[in-house]
Amino acid sequence: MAPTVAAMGPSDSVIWGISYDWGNYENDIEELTGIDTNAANEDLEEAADYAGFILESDQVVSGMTQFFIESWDDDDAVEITDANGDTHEVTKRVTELTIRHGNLGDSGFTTAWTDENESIDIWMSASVEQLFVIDAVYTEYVDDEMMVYGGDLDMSGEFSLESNMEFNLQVIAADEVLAPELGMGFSVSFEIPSITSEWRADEPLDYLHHLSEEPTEESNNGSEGGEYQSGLVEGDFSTITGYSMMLSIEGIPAEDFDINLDAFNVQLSDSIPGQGTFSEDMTVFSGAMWDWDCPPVGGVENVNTDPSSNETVSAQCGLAPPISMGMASMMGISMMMAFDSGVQELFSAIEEQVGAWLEEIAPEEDTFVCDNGEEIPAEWENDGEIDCDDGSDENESGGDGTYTCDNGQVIPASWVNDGEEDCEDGSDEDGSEDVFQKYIDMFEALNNSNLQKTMEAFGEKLEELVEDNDPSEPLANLDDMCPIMFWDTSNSRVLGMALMATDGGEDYEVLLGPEILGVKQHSYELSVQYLTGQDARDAKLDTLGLIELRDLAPDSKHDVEELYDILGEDFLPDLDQTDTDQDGVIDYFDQDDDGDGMFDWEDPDPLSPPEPVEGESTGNSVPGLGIIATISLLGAAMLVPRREE
Amino acid sequence: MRKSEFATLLLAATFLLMAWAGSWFEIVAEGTYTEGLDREPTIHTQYLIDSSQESFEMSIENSTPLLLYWLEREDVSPEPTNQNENSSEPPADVPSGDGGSDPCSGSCLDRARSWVGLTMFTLFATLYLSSARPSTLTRATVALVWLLGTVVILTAVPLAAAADFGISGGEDSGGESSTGGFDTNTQETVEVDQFAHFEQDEDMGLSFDGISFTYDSVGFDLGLLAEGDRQAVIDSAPVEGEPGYESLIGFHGEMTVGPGSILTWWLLTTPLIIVNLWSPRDSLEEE
Repeated sequence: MAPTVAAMGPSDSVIWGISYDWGNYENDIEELTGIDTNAANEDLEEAADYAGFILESDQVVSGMTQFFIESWDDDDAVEITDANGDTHEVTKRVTELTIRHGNLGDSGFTTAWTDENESIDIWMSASVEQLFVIDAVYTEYVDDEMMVYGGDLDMSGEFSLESNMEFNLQVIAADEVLAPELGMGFSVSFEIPSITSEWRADEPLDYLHHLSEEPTEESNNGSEGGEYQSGLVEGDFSTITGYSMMLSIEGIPAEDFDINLDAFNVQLSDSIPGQGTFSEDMTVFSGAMWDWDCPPVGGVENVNTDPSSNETVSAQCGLAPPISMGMASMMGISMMMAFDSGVQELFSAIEEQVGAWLEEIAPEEDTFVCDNGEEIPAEWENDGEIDCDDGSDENESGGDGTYTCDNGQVIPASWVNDGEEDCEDGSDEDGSEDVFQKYIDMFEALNNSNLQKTMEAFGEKLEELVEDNDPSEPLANLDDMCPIMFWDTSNSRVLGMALMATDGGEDYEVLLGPEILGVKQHSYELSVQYLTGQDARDAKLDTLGLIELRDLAPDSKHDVEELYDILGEDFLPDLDQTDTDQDGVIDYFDQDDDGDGMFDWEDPDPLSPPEPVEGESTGNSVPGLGIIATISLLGAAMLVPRREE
Repeated sequence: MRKSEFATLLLAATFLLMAWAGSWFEIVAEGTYTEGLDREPTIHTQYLIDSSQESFEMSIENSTPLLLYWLEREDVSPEPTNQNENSSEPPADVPSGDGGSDPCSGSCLDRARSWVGLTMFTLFATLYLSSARPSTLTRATVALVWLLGTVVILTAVPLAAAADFGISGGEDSGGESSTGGFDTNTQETVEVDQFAHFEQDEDMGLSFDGISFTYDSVGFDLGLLAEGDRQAVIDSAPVEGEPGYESLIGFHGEMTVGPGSILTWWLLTTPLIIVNLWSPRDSLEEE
């Protein structure tokens, strides 16, 4: 996807944003809460080891999340025609919203338990990929008194989510083997190559005044906001809605269930293009809470909006929307229209298909009508017990709980299909019990093994270990987290935001946010960054071109080496084992390919080869031979008759 | 044993192992809805038999219009039960009792696998014997076993699979076909059935991969129309723009049925058999 509207504002724009590197997620959790997620994995492994089986698990998260809000005024006067055809002289207030979120998550789990005759092996791998990219530019038309006459919106974006899971199980019990392999996955994506919309108000709206004047009983009927309706939002869009679903099963005991397939794989996929126009009533919900504070932050504070200088600006504190509510409303309406169009066909198909599946899986419960009109569940008919008052549900047995064999012998109805032949001619057994007997035997064998004892020991040990791992008190008190916004009352523009948290005391410290004069900043080592001023401008410039998942969450920063150690080759079956720098770490896992001590993503020249050792060959001079080539050469050499023969 | 004979045996073992490990029988089909559905949904299917399992893969591209079509169409084909009532044949779901239609109790394929395995082993054994103790008899046996193996690969595996599926019994599975019912007994003339003005064209040919079938059909699916609108379409095929034209469904399908890579590897043993047959007579005399 190529965003069509991403751009940079002027150097004097107001800009702020947040950046987070998911690669440090576990460290951040530990830093803030004291909980070591790696220690939790180790606890699991240690408890399993204590109980006498093998258990290994790990999870890896990587990627990046960034968003920036940049706004500026274009003071050149322009003329705008409102919905009534009247012309007004206005100026432009431009707001750009940039969102980049790319995230990879992998987790794996293996366990192996065995006693003398039984064993259970489980192998599981799951992955998630997320992408969320939005670029939106909103131009709002205002007059000298901050009255709004309309706005224009250009935006593009993409949302996608993919998840896959593989599960392999092997159970050996009662001299039987059950080894099904299950794979399933899905992906959904919604791409917006472009949305363009225009809003022209019937009459000028004053919702920007919520940030310039504190609401009073008189000015706002005592409320802190309100709903404004004026004019139409009209626009056009193009979308691409995609999805895929996959299910594969192997190793099913097909013969037990009379199925002529051992493995099957089903995939559905679609990519639905959509485009259209829309015209909707424009509704703006706006408001600001001026009396919101996070002590000692509240009222008016001096906030540094550009770390390159020590200057601070006076900012009003409270809660307010971070972007103009005109922009938020236009984005909401435009995206809703595009989304509706894109997924309408898909949703109706899913709805009907799911309904059909549900009907197949769980049909409406059949009922049996007794001779006296009473209704009972159909499966109670001929179950060996009289359920109708008149006994008419036991029609095969004459209503007395008996079953008449083909040879005329009468036996209790409950003996039918119980796995034992009770009629002399065997007509009470239709063979259905035999199919499940194997599994009943396996279950009983497992039940008689030391599995239950092992699990009890595992649970007790894990409880003990987790207790040790749990920190006595959290480092930061996240329960008291408090968000707060800062805005400039002179131009009704939001300057930034902060997340405040207490460290166990009464007052808040800045967990995430700008420097606030006289307020303590946190002392944790977190990878979340609050960016403002030139820092934000630089970061935004770097991130604008990152629009693909692998741009935001490259494989090189997604270190799954430990997962590979746990899950083995099945985790990455086609993994290229090349180790270019011959450092013992294959290229796929090598995060320092040139061995210069810098991670590849920080290294300006990540592939510059290390100095070759004198006299050592640096390349493969003989290409590898394929199996066919080998066989052909061997065959040709051996089959050609020798001169002496 | 001379080096060339050893090489022959080595190659034969390799080819036979590759044949055993490859696919034994494949049905690959692709069908595209060329008329009536948006974005031409395409169904790819592959049914494969190898030495250990039968597997089936299906993928549907541009699946949404096809799912909607399958879900929304009404089955207007006449119920087959009326025909059975007047028929002297027993209903399909009544077991025959003597197991005559299922000669190997659903495990014909397992038997076929045994035959293939046995044939491969026998071919290797006779080749070895022919190398160790060459004689006209052993060489003829090699050729005979090879011919027998070819027949087993070409016929036993697909026939066994067909028998396991019950196809040989001539029973209709009763399921709806992936063509959306195009293979029902609809005639090409106007008739009250699932499709009106139904036309189809079939073709069959031989290729290196096996037997190829192509199938094209077009017709008006009455199940997509309201009950009251069907007669008008039955009476006269609507043209584009007329009511009822939206029920026009066109389908193009291609299917290839044939032995999988087992045949390729098996045929690679042909030169070895020929070498074995035509090796110099002095080797016989040397013995």
